[in-house]
Amino acid sequence: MRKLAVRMARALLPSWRFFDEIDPAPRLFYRTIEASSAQGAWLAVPFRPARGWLALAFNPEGNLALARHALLEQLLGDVAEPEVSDPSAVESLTSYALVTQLVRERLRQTAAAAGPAVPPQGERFQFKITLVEAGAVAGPAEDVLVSRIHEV
Amino acid sequence: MPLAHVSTGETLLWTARLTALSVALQAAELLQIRGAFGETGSFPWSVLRRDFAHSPRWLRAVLDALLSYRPFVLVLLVQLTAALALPWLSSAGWSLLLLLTVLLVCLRFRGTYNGGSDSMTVVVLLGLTVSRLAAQLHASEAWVDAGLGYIAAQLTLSYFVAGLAKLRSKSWRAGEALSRLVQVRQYVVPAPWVELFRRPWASRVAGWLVIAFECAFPAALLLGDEVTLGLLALAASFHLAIAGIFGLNRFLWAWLSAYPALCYWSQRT
Repeated sequence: MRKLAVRMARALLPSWRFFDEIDPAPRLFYRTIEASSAQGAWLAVPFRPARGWLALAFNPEGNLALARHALLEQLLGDVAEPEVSDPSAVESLTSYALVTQLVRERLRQTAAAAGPAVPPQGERFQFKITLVEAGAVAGPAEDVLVSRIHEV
Repeated sequence: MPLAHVSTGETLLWTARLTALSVALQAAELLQIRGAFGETGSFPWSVLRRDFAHSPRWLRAVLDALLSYRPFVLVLLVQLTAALALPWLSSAGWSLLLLLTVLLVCLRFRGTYNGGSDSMTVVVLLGLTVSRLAAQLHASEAWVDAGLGYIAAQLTLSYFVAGLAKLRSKSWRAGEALSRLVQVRQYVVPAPWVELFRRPWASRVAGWLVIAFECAFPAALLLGDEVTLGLLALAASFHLAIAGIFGLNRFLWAWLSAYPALCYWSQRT
């Protein structure tokens, strides 16, 4: 609640500091785990919708992608707090639940695009967040958060 | 039209028109992606309401009534309608209603949906509400001026503070910041712009031009009409470029809505 109040205060009392530092950007990856415990490859959750000229005025998918990406930054910010020191505290965060939901949404979209609307039964998933310098390629060394295995 | 002839009424009307456009576009965008804040989307209320788990029961009930899926769609429809009506209905109540819907959107998305553009929208609506209320109550002209002055001051600060922050940044001074910024994946910068700004000379020149423009912006308030209009034209072009290159379209319309207030105050300083 306190963090939410701080975020709302920023909307009302803006600092107007835009892009003064270009920090490494978080990227979200997920993998599915089959009933046999076989793990799939890590796949990136894309936040990159294409845009045309109309986006100068009307860019709903682009702004949604940015809002979704902001969830990653919120989670990393929350995890860095001193009182969030163990895995159970991380999983109790609203931001963690939202990122988990983001991955579930991605899994649903992927399953719907691939075939019948019903996702495979018993599938589980795991996600991770990496921090990558602009223009660099993500590798294991950049993993900053790896989740436990969740049910779809 | 020379700025010296811009009246209070004209300023309030143009602020209302541009704000109407900005907020109507925001509402339309959110309505277009409303599936994302349903229960199977990225921002389900059942999860977000955890932020209020320790709030009083009555507050949670109010938030449930306003921010769960269907009521929130209604809030957005109210926002769209109020935005479209804003230029024709000069009551402070309408701009206050619009302000409240914008704040509800910020609350719904944990403080902000789109960062700085939400902040500028709040600033403009707050200033407009104060000015309109003063006019409605036949209060002192100073209160009408205060509302517009708040908008003009925040607009000026938005450029000047941003410019100073960049000036203090090593990567901006070295001319590297733009080169890195265009490679940030989530902005989906078109390839020709990535190629251009990866060139050190282009990143350096463009970076210093941005710093110079932002730091010089207070001159729009202090010097003559030509300087004011010139800097506003430059600023609008800057936001148009940001919208085209980085996809940050909301900033263009939110900042434009603050320009009439700056024009009004530039003739008083």
